Amino acid sequence: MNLKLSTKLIGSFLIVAAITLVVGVIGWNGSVKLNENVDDIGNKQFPTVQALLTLQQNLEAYRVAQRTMLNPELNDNDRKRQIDNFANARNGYQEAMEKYEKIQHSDEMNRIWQQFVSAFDDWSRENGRFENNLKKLDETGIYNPDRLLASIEQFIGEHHRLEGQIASLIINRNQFEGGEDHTSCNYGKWLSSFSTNNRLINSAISNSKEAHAQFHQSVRAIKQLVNANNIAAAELELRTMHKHAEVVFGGFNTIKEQAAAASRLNSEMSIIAMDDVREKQDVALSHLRRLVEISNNIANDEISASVASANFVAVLTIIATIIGTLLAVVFGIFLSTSISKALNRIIAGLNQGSEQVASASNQVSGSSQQMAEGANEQASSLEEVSSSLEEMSSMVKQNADNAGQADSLMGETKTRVEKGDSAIAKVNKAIGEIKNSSDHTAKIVKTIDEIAFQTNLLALNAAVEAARAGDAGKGFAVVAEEVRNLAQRSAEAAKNTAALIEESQKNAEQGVEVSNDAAEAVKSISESAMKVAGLISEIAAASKEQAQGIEQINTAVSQMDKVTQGNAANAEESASASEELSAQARELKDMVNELVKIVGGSSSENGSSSGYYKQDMDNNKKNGFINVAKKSFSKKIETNGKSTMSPVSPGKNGKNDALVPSKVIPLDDDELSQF
Amino acid sequence: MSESAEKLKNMASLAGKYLTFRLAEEEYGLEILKVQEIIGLMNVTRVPKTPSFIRGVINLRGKVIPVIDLRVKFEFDIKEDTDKTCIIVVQVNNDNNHSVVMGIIVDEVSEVLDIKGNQIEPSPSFGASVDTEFILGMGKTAQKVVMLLDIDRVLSGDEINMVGKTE
Repeated sequence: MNLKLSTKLIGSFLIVAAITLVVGVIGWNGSVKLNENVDDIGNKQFPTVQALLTLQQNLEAYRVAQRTMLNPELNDNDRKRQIDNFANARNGYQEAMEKYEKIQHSDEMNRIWQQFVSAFDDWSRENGRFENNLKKLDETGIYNPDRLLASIEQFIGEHHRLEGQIASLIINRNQFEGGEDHTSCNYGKWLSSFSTNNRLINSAISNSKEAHAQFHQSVRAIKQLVNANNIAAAELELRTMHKHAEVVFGGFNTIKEQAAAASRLNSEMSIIAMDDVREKQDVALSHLRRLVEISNNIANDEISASVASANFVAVLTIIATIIGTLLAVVFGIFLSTSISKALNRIIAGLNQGSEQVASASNQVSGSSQQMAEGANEQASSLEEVSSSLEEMSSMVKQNADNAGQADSLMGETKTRVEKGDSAIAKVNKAIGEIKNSSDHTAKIVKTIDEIAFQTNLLALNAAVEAARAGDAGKGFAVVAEEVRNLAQRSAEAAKNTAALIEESQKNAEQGVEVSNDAAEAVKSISESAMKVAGLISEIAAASKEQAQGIEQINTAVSQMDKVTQGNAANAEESASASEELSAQARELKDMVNELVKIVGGSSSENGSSSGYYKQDMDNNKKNGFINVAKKSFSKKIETNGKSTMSPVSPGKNGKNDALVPSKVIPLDDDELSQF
Repeated sequence: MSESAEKLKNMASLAGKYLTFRLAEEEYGLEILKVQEIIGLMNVTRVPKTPSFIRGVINLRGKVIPVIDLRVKFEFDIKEDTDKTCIIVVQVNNDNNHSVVMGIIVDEVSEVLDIKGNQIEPSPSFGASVDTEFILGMGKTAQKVVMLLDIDRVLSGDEINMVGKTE
C-alpha cells in the first residue's frame, strides 16, 4: 500500500475515531432509549397505574363507605365519618381520574378508559340514587328502622297487653303490676332517650306523649277504680283510656310508617348498594383492572426492552471498544514501524546519494577542467580544419570546371556517335540490299537447278525409252546421255553458283552481323557516353553542392570556434559549480544526520564520513583536479600500457560506496607529467 | 552343275541396263524394261483403309496410279520428302501375269547403268528364315554396290492384288 504518509496517519486516526464515534453513538442511542423507556415508565405507566390503583382504591373506599352506611347500628359519628369517607373517596377518585386523563395513553387504553368512564358514570348514577336514598333516610332520621320497628312493636304489644290486662282486670279482676307510670313504661323510657329529626315522628311523639301519659294515668285510675270496685267508672275510664290508647297507637303507627319507609329506603339502599352499585362497580373495576393490566404489561415490556437494549448496548460497546483498541494498537504499531522503516531506508539512500554526489562533483570539476583543455585543443584543430577546407574548396572548384569541360566534350561525342549510328544504319541498309539481290539470285539459281533436275529426269526417261526401244534406240540413248550430261553440267553450274551465292550471302550476313556488332558497339558507346554525360553533369552538380557544403562547413567551423570559446568559459563555470555541489553534499549529509536523530539513534559513522569528505575535498584542491582526471583518463592509461587501477578498498566508515578517487587510482605527479 | 555355278550363270543373265536410285543412303537398281517413266514427286491423294506402305494414288496424265512408299515397305525410318524425291512408274507382274502399273517413291534417281554379268554377285543368304528373293543380285560398279531389285517380288502377290484394286 503506497499511500501518502499523511493519508495513512489521517486514515488510521479517522478509523479509530470512527470506531469511538460508533461506540459513543451506540451508547448514546442505548441510553436515550433507556431514558425514554424509564421516562415512559416513570411519567406514564407508573403514574397511570398509581392513578388507576388510587381510583380503584377510592372506588372501593366509596363502596365500603356505602356498605358501612347500610349498617343501621351506625352512630352519628360513624355516619359522619362515612360521609367524610364518601367525600374523600369522591375527591380521591376524581383526582385520580384527572391525573389519569392528563397522561397520554394508547388507543387501546383510551378505548378501555372510555368504557370505564361510561361504566363509572353508570356507577355514579347508582351512587346518586344511593345518596338520594341516603338523603331521604337522613330526612326520615331513622337509621335503624328495624330496631325502631321492633321497639314500637314491643311498645304496641306492651300497651295492647296492658289493655288486655286492664280489660281482664275489669272483667276478671285480674290484678297485674305495672303500667301505671308512664316513665317506667318502656316506651316512656325510650321516649326520654329517643330523639330524631323526623318531624312526623316528632309530631307523632309529641302528640302521643300526653296521651301516653294519660293512658298510663288511666291505667292507674282504672286500677284504683277497680280496686275500689267502681266498675262503671272504671269502664268509663277504660273508654278514655282507649281514646288515649288510639292516639298513642296512632303515634305508634306513624312511627311505624316512618320506620317502614325508612326500612324500605334502607332495603332500597342496600339493593342499590349490594346489587346495582356492585354491578356497575364491578364492570368499572373490570375495566380498571384491564387498564392496570395493560399498563403493567406496557411497563413490563418497556422494562424488559430497556433491560434488553441496555444489555445489547453493553455488549456492543464492549465489542466495539475491544475492536477499537485492537485496531488502534495494530494501526499504531504498523504505522510506526512502516514510517520508521521507510525513514531508515530514506536515510540510508540519502547517505549513499550524498556521498555519490560528492564524488560526482569531484568528477565534474575534473572533467570540466579537462573540458577547458579540450576546448583549446578543439580551437586549434578547428583552425587546421578550416585551412584544409579552403584547399578542398579550391579543388572542388577545379573539379567543377573540369566537369563542365567534360560535359561539353560529351556533347560533341554525342553528335559524333549519332553520326556513326546513321552511317551504320546506311551500311545495314546496303547490306540488306545485297542480301535481297542475293536472295533473288538464289531463287533464279534454284529455278535453274530445278530445270536441270527435270532435264535429268527427262534424260533418264529418254534413256528408259531408248532401252525399251533396244537397238533402234541406241542413237537416242546417246542423245539422252548427252542431254543428261548437259543437265548435270547445268546442275553443277547451278550448284556452284548456289554455293557462291551462299558464300556471298554468308558474307553479307557476316557483314550484317559485323555492322550490327558495330552498331551495338556504337550504341553501347553512345549509351556509355550518355551515362558518362549524366555522371559528369551529376559530378558538376555535386561539385557545386560540394562547394556549397564547404561554404556551410566553413561557417559551421567558425561557429564551432565560437562555441568552443563558450565551452571553455562554461568549463570554468562548471568547475566552480561543482565546488558548490560538494558543499551542498556536505550540507545534505548534516541534514540526514539530523533526520537520523529524529528517527532515533544517531550513528557515529555518518557523522565522520562528512568530515572525511571535507578532507578529501581539500586534498583534491591541493592536487588541482588531477585526482579526478586520473579516474577519467584511466582508459588512456591502459592504452599507454600502464594499468594503475588499484582495487577499490572499502572506506574507513564501513560504507563501501565511499569511493574516493585518490584511493582508487594512486598516481603521483611524475606519471602524470607524461600527459 | 554346282549351285554356285548355276548362280553364276544366272548372274550373267542379269546383265543389262538398270535404273539406279537411292533410298536411305543405299543404291538400288531396277531393270530398265520394267521402268515406264520417271516423274518428280507430285501431290499424292491418300486412300483410306490402305496399308501404310501405300502412300496413295496420283493422276498421271489422266490415269490414276497407286503409289507405294518403298521406305515403309522396306521398314526404313520415315524421312521427309525432298525436292529430289521422285516417283518411278513401273510395271509389276503379279502371279497371274497381270501387269499392274504402280509408282514407287524413292529418295533420288541416279542414272541408268549398264551392268555386265561379271559385275553381279548373287544376293547373300541370311539363313532360311530370311527371305531375300526380291534381291536379284548385288551389282558392283567402280564406286559402289547396287542392290538389284526384282520388283515383281518386292511386293507379295496379295499385296499386288490389293494394290491393283486401288486403280
